[in-house]
This record gives sequence, structure tokens and C-alpha cells, in this order.
Amino acid sequence: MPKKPVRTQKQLLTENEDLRGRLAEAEETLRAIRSGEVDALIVSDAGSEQVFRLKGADRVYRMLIEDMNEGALTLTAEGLILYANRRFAEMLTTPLEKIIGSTIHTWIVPDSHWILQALLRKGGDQKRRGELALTASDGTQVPIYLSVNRLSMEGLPNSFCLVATNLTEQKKRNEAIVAAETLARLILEQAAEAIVVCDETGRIIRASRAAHALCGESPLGQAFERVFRLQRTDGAAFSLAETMNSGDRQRIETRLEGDGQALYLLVSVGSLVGTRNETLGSVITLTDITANKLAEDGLRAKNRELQILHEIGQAILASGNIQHMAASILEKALAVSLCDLGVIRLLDRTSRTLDPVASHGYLNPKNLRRHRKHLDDRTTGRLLRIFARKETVVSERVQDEPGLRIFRREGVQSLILIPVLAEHDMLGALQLGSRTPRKFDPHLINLLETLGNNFGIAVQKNRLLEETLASQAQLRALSRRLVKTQETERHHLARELHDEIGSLLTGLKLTLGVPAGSGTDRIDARTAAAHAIIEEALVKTRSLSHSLRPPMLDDLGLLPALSWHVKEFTGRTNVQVNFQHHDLQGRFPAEVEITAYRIIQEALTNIARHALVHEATVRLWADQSALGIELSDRGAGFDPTATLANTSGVGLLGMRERVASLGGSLTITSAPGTGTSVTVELPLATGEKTVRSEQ
Amino acid sequence: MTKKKLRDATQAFKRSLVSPLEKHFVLRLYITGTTPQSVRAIANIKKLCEEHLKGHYELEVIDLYQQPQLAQGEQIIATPTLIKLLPPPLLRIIGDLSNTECVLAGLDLRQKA
Repeated sequence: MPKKPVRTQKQLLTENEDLRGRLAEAEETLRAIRSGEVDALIVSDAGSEQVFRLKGADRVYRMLIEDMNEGALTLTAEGLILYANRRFAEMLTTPLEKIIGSTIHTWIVPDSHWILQALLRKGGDQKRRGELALTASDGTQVPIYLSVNRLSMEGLPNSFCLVATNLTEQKKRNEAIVAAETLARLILEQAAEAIVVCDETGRIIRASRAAHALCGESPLGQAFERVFRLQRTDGAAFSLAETMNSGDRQRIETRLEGDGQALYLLVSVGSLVGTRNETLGSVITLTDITANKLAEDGLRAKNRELQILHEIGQAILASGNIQHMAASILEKALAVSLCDLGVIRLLDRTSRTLDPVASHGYLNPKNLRRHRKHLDDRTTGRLLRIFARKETVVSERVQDEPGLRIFRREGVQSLILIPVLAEHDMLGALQLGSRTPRKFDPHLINLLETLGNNFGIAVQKNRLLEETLASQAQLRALSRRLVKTQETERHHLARELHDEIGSLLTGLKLTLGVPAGSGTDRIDARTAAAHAIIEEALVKTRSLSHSLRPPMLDDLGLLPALSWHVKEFTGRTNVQVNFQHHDLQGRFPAEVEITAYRIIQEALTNIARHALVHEATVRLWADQSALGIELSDRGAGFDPTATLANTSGVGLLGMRERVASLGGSLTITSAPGTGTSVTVELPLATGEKTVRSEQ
Repeated sequence: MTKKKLRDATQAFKRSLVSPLEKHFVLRLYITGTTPQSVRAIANIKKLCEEHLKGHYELEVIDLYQQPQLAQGEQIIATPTLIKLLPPPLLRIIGDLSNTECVLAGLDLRQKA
């Protein structure tokens, strides 16, 4: 160990002085440097001097890095952060001093580690860019876009320069865009309306699910008008371009012809405008209003129906005549059904024929006449089917169907047969034909059936009214006859009393009033004369009594009474009566006996008065159930229907009333010049009498 | 003292309680951007800390270009400068810290190493 030289105090003081001086110089130098009085430092480095300018040209680049909007950092190959700018520190919400000197892996989310490793591993020429996420101190994840460049620094050949772009805002924007797109798609898919988006040329670029369903195929890429051939209410074709140019773009009513059924669509058109207010295309909303439209149509049809029914009701009320009513109904039916020709026929029960009561539109009247159909005629076929089923028959293609010859001859292509019903009773048919092929919708059929029913009820009421009026007329005639008969009887009685009994009694009075002469002979003669007069008066009285009510009928029964009456009738009228009877022994109910007696009495009187014959036959028979009477002559004869109808035949009417009251039947067969036959059957009911009215 | 600093100090104190035998080091390195000396200094001190002080050190690297205000009162005249704040005494080492022996001596880590 070398021995340290011992210095003197003077030496030490000198040295101290020197050191103080050098210290002062050093401190002054440091002060000058620290206070910024120098602008460059000269540093010795391996024998050469380097000049470090304190504010050099690199300051500009440094400032650029420090203030730029991206995060910038330098790394060693191991990930040690050698440099980071403030922007990067802000991304990590961490003080800058905690970042420089730390490793990058501390700040990268575990899932992104492999991305960073991959970026750092790539070759020099390859693009080193990728997206990864950082973990900030507050725990949030920061998505970044990282670009990596290899950097060769002095002493650290394997280092990297990184630029990180914060993607948070962009991600948010992207998310907003995605959300907007999702919303738009959701609207398009969920909307009940058909929504279609078109570009400026009118081609469809988006379409909602409902729009797809509406056109049945994918409408995308096609022109709007080609996919949706819409018709405006005025019949013009809907044009998207015209609508876009016009002011009226909202709630345009259109019609779309579909397969079999037309759709009604409400169209609204809106402009699709870009950020610079330029038109990009259009958004079209198609709302299906078919159901509303149909309901509206249905309501209108119902209204019309009610109106027609009201008018029909008025017509029926106003007219008491079936022909007028039928004409009115037919006119309405033709108007509502838009048919060319029609006929209403009613069933005549007596002749069993279907007779036209109203017709319209026949080109050849012969065809209508041929329409008088007999129910039993097989050729009537289809027409009568509705009588069997009491249902409407529709034939939309007459040409293809058998039968219906007459309608075919009239050029009818489609026809409908409506039953005329009154409480399930078929009264006739309403037949309508169209010369052009057509369909009959259920509404119309319903309405026509209602017309048929109304007419049926009207016909039935009308017939009942006619029958009631006829019955009333007959009743009036009967009561007049009763009064007349009574008067005649009284007159006859009065004359008989006056002429016969009265004169006899006068004769008796005169006979007895002559002053009594003397002599028995005279008295005897007078007594004998009086006796004869009284005898004659008794005969007259008995005859009179018989004619009023034959006591014989009550006392002895029908056969003796009739025998007496026939005899008396022949004596009185000189008409020979061939009286035949069979099984008439015994008695019948009193009302049967008197009815039979009076009918024969009346019929014989009629023969005597009107038949102009001298012979008549009366036959009577009886069995367990009935008493039969037949009167016939070969006389003048008459028209029974006319006689009964004009109420002059009160005698016949009286007979009929009497028979009807017992539930029997009366048949008069007669015609002028052929004689007359009256047949009566009176039921002999044991126990309770069955009453049946004669039709 | 800011809240954050207070929190850091509290954590340091807690750490010192958990492992009383191991001294806790708080180091601060002042650099200027990415100059070669600064870059080397970071790399060297990081390597040294990881090797000798792993788990019980705190290192702050201050870029005086970006945070000049943090140099106030610290008597920094050149960069890189490493200051050992804890454990006492306070110590400064200027340079790129490439002389590991000197640094370890300065940090009083010789015996340990």
C-alpha cells in the first residue's frame, strides 16, 4: 500500500481554495444549464465530442408524437414500454409515469395477448395491423387498432414502435349503425303492413315479410309497378314516379287483382332522403283494407236489400192483386239480379199446373206459353226439382246441363230458380235468366229467396182474403135466401090460409049463417055441407102442416116421409119420380133425416122449376158409414160453378151448407143440355160426429 | 399530497408490514423521450429490479419532455437520473445505468446480491 504524502496546511488551504473555485464554477455551470441559459451541451463520447442542442429540429417531431390523437409507444421485444405518449396514458386512465417502464402485457386483455404476439412476430415487410383490446385502470376495455413498426434503436436492435387508435367511438358508432339496421329490419319483418323500399329508379331494394307474402315471390330487384300492378279508384294504373312527383302521396286507395279475389290496398309513399337532402328512393306502405272494404260493400248491399224489401213491402201493401204484385216483385228481382228475363209462376192446385202470373224479357212469346207446365209432366224436370226439395236451384252454365230447353231457346246462359214459399208450402217459382254467363253470389240468392218468401206470403194472404170474401158473400146470399124463404113461406102460408082455409071458413060461416030454415032435410044438408067444408079444411090444414115440417118424418122416419112427399110432389107437379131405395129401414139421426129430406125436397123443387122434364130419379142407400142420395134428371142442365159463384143459386148454396154442416159431401154434375146429377153423402157417425169441412 | 399518492403510500406501508424483512424500494427514473441513454436506462433498471427486487419495488419512469412539471424541486440537471426515494437515504445516480455494479452499490444491494 503506497504511503500517502503528507501535505502541509498551506498546501491544503491552497487546494481548498482551488476546490472552492472549481465548485463555484461547477455550481455556476449547473445553474446556467438549469436556468436555461445554454442551448447546447457538448458531451464527450468515445473520444469525440457531440453537440446536443436543447431545442433541436427533432422537437417538432417529438411534439407531433406527444400531441397526436393516437396513442404512441415504443417497446422492447419483451414488451417493456420504453416510451408512451399522453394519449396512450389517457386511454388507460393511468398516469404516464406508471406506464413507461411497465410491460405492455399488463395493459392488454388476456384474450388479445396472442394478437399482440402475432403482430410482434411478423416479418419486416408484412403489414402489422390488428384490432385488440386494452384494460384501463378503471377496468373498462378499450378497443384499439394497433399498427406495429419495427424500430432499430441504438443498443436495442429489437424494439418496436406502436401506434394505437382508440376504436371506442367508432365501435359505438358501428353499434349504433348495427342497431339502426337491426331496428329497420325488425320493422320490415314485423310490420303488419307491406313495406317496400325502392331506389330512385323505382326498383325494389327492401321488402317486408308482408310485402313478400302479398306478391307471392321475392319482389327484390324488380320494378315496383311490375310486382304490384295496382289500379287507382278511377281505373288508371298506379305509377310510383307520378305519385312521387305529385303532392298527394298519402292514403291512395288502390285495387290489386289477385288470384280470384281482388285486394284493396291503401298506398302511402314517402321519400327516402340522404344526408345532403338528395332523394335516394322511396318508401311505400301498402295497407290491406280488403276486409274493411268488403264489410263496407256488405253493409251497402244490406242497405240496398232493406231498401228493396221495403219497396216490395210497399208494393204488396198497395196492391191487392196477385198479378200486379207478381209484376212488381219480378221487376225488382230482375233489377237486383241484373238478369235479362224472368217469370213468376203459381201452382194451380185444381189443374196441377204452373201458370205464369208475371213475365218479362221473353223474346218469343211462344216460349212463355209453353211454360205452362203440368206438375205430372216429366219434361218439367229441373223446374219441379225445387218443388221436391223446396230449395233454390242455380245453374250457372245452362248449356252444359240437360233439360232447360225453353230457357236455352231464349238464349239464357245462367239461370236461378227460387221457390215461392209460404210456411213451407210451395206456391210457385221465381225463375230468372241471364243471356250472358254469370255467377249468383250468396247475398243475391239470399235476397231473391227473401223476395220469393215475401211473395209467397202475400199470395197466401191474398188467397185467404179471396176465400174469406167469397165465404162472406155466400153467407150474405144464404141469409138473404133464408129471409126470402121465410117471407115466401109466410106469403104461401098467408095465401093458403086466406085462399084455402079462409075461403072454406067463409063458406062454413055462410053455410051456418044462413037463417035456419025449417025442416030436418035442410038442416041435415047444411050440416053435411058444413061437414064437407070442415073436412076439406082439415085436409088443407094437414097439407099445410106437412109442408112446413112433415110430422111423418119425426113420427115414422125418412122412408115413409119421403114416400109421402114424392107422391104429393107428383100429384102437385105432374113430374113422375122414380124412387129407388136400399137399406133404408130403421131410423137415422134426426139431423141426417131432416137434411136428406130437405135436400130431396129442394132438388125436386129445382127439377120441377128448371129442368123442364116430367121424369126424375131419386135413389137412396145406406150402409154403416153413410147415407147416400142421388137425384138425376135429363133436363135442361146448368153451369154449377157459375150458378154457385153468382150467388143466384141460393138453393144450391143452401144444400151445400146443409151437407157441410154434417161433414158430408155434395157433388153436382151438370152442364147446359145434359141434365143434372146431384150426389150427396151424409156420414152416419156412431158416437161422436166427425166434422169435416168441405173444400 | 393527492389522493392517489396517499393511496400509493398507504399500499407501500401495508406491503412493508406484510414482509418486514424485505425492504421496499421506491425508484424514480427521469428520462427525456426516447433518447438512446434514456431507453437504455429504462431497460437496465427494469432488468436489475426484476432480478434483484422482484415483488418489492415500485418504479416510476418520468418523461420530462411530456411531464416537465414533475422535475420541479428534484434538482435534476441531466437525464437519465435515477432517484432512490426509499429506503433512505435518498440517492441519485446519473447515466444509463449500464454499470450494474455501481448501481447495485448505490442501491445498497451488494450484500444481498
